[in-house]
Amino acid sequence: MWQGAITIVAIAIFNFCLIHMAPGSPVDVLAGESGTADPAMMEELTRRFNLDQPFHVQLFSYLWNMAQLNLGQSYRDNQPVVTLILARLPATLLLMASAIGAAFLFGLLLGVVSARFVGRAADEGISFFALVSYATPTFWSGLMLITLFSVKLGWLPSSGMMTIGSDKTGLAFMLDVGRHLILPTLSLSLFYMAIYTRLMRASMLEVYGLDYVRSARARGLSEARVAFRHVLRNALLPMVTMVGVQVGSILGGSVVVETVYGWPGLGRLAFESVGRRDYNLLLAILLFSSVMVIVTNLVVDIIYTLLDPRIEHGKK
Amino acid sequence: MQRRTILKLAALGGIGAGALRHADPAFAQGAEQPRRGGTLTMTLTPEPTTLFPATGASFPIMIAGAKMFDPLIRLDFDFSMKPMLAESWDISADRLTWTFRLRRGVKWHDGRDFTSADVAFTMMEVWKKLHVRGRNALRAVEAAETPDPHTVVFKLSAPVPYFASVLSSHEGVIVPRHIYEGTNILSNPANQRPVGTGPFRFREWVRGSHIIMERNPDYWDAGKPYLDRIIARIIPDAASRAAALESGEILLAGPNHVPLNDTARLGRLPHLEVHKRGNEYSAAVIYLQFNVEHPVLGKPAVRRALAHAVDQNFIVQNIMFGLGTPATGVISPYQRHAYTDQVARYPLDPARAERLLDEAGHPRGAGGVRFAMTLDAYTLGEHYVRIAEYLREALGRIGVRVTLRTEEAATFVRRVYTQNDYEALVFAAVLLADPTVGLQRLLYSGAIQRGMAFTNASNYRNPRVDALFEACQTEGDPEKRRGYWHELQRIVQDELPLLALANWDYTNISNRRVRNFVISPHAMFENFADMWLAS
Repeated sequence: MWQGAITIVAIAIFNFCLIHMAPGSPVDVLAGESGTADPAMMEELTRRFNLDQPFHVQLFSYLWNMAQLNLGQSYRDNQPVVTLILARLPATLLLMASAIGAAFLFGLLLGVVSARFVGRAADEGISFFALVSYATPTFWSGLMLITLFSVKLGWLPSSGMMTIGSDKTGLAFMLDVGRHLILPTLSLSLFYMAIYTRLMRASMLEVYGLDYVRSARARGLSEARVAFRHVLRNALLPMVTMVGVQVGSILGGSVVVETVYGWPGLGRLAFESVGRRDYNLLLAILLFSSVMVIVTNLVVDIIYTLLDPRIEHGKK
Repeated sequence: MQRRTILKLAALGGIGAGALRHADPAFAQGAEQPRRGGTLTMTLTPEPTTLFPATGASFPIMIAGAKMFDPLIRLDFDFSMKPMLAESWDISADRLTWTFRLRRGVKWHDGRDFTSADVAFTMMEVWKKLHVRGRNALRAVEAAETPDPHTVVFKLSAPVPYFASVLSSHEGVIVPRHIYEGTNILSNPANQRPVGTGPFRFREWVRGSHIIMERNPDYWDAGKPYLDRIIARIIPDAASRAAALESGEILLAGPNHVPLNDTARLGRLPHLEVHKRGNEYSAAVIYLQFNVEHPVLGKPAVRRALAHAVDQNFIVQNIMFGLGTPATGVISPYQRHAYTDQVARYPLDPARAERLLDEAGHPRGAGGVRFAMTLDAYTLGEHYVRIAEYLREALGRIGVRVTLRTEEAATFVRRVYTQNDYEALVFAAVLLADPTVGLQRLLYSGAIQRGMAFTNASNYRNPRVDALFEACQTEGDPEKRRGYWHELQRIVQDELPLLALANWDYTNISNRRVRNFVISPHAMFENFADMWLAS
């Protein structure tokens, strides 16, 4: 617990310093976008944002506010940053969950199939597909999917999270969101699916070579039972580790996907707040993300024990 | 007499109908009956920061705000004044007293009555104090008197030749006094849920996704608006916006919402239409700006030599995809009341450019290089970077080694306008209806102000140019004023603190179902009360 808290404070200080090292301030950006600005207005904004204070004063007042769980106001939107973040959080969680879920599920399936038929046509095909998916930049695959499924075929919407203004409820609403979710999920999960496929294949093959698998076969168990009951379960451990590590990076990857698909999520908010130098908002998002990563790591540890009861926690 | 004064002002304001080069099919279809109902989806980018439009702070705020707030008057294509919240007006012979008689029975979206007090409040407390252009342009306004609830009188200390353009359309929307008086206007919560008198009412704003505006059934112009609803979608990626137009999910996109190369491509699709018309008010020019305090670029002879190395046609055809014209000077031809092409020209002539540089004392040295310079490009538009890349090649051919620097917007603004740490840069300025409002800040010596974006970052000082700008601020005779502007263009085109590269035609893209889109020089900034959708 303490370790987690100290990590978060260290991350907060580091983020604060890093952001304030970037040239330009939120006032510069607002002036740049308006095309005109006058000194009196820029001074007024600087004062309102507390940017006229010395650096260490700003840092301490930030930490002090954070300790009281007050993350401050967005300079740009004049709203508490927590409100802005909570408004975006569900969209991001939904996209992340569906992308990780899809990547994990299909990666697992393809990996298992690949390992079962190693060296045969199915394995070759899957490996090729995984390689292409791994090498394709996310923004490009995103735009190509839009061109194909939205512009040419007209099957799926090109952007957004729901049909705006349709006032759907219940099942109709869920189906609507689902339709909007397909393309972003596909774009975001392709890369991770490729990694999981390769990882799963390698991991399965490794376990296949172990003594207990040979003895299971010697006991006359069917090939399917060996694969799923004995090999898969043990081969899953590295996969779970990998997913845990990548939850943080998938948040980074979602910046691109959220931008291409106009998905109103947290990744885009973070990216935009960098360009706008919206310090408070950006710091709060980074803080949220670090908390999210720490929580995920905890969850991964729990899953370990479920998969392999020999792993225990809290004992040395 | 009054009528004639108004017409004269209109002529002064601007652009004659002859400037309209592209026939608009919506007008040819004028026989069609407008159809009630339907939802317009349009793009809005970047996402607004607030929905308080009376500071004129940025395009997206003004585009959205214009649907929910009304101005006193609007301008027609010939820049003549048309009634909006003001039904009629008198302008005194010395043009120091402007009396507006207001429409009766107009209600704010919250049900309160609209009165002259709202207008006076907006003028004195909002425009004069907070409007980014109004602060200077309206300095001469001394009082806003309200003899009765339906009359407002503006008292000026000196004539303001461009007064009508400052009051009009999206530049001059009126905000409710009962909501803003005595509050911190810029952080008033109503800025997130605006209350106006316009044809559309605010319904919701989901950040990062969309803004919905709904038909105002009590709008003073009975029967309008025709649309039930406007949905402004925030799609951050330019290529995705183009795809949404192509698939029909978006019916309308504003200026610069789609990259220039996509604009040319989308224009060839049967269901889409690219409008150059309707952006006359915006009159944008792309410049190569020099820092005249630079030891080499500070010499006018060097700047003239560089001008001979640049092929404007190449820029217009290959980088802007024909969405512009080669520029002759600092003032846009859209500003017909000020523009002249009788200025020094710099035809493409690399040999002459090299000779001029030799004469200026910069012969080719080691490796054939005469001198080196750094060129910045404003990165809020891809074509600025492409133009800068072209300039690197073009100037390289005459022995000038150019290093490009592309930094994101905040860093750029800080470097150029606060630190003044640059040598030359590529950017565009929107000149609006009159050079006093749009151009003066770029060349007037009084506008050399550190920390103030889009001002005279060239550090250009010329007493005659200053005097001409000052004269144009108050000169009432349109012909004299035209003479001043012509002289100014000649001087600036000789000295070239700004080398105008291209007049940039802003374009809007609409689906052919959208009717009555371009009905004034404000197109995207119109209130859309007349717009309707064909089935």
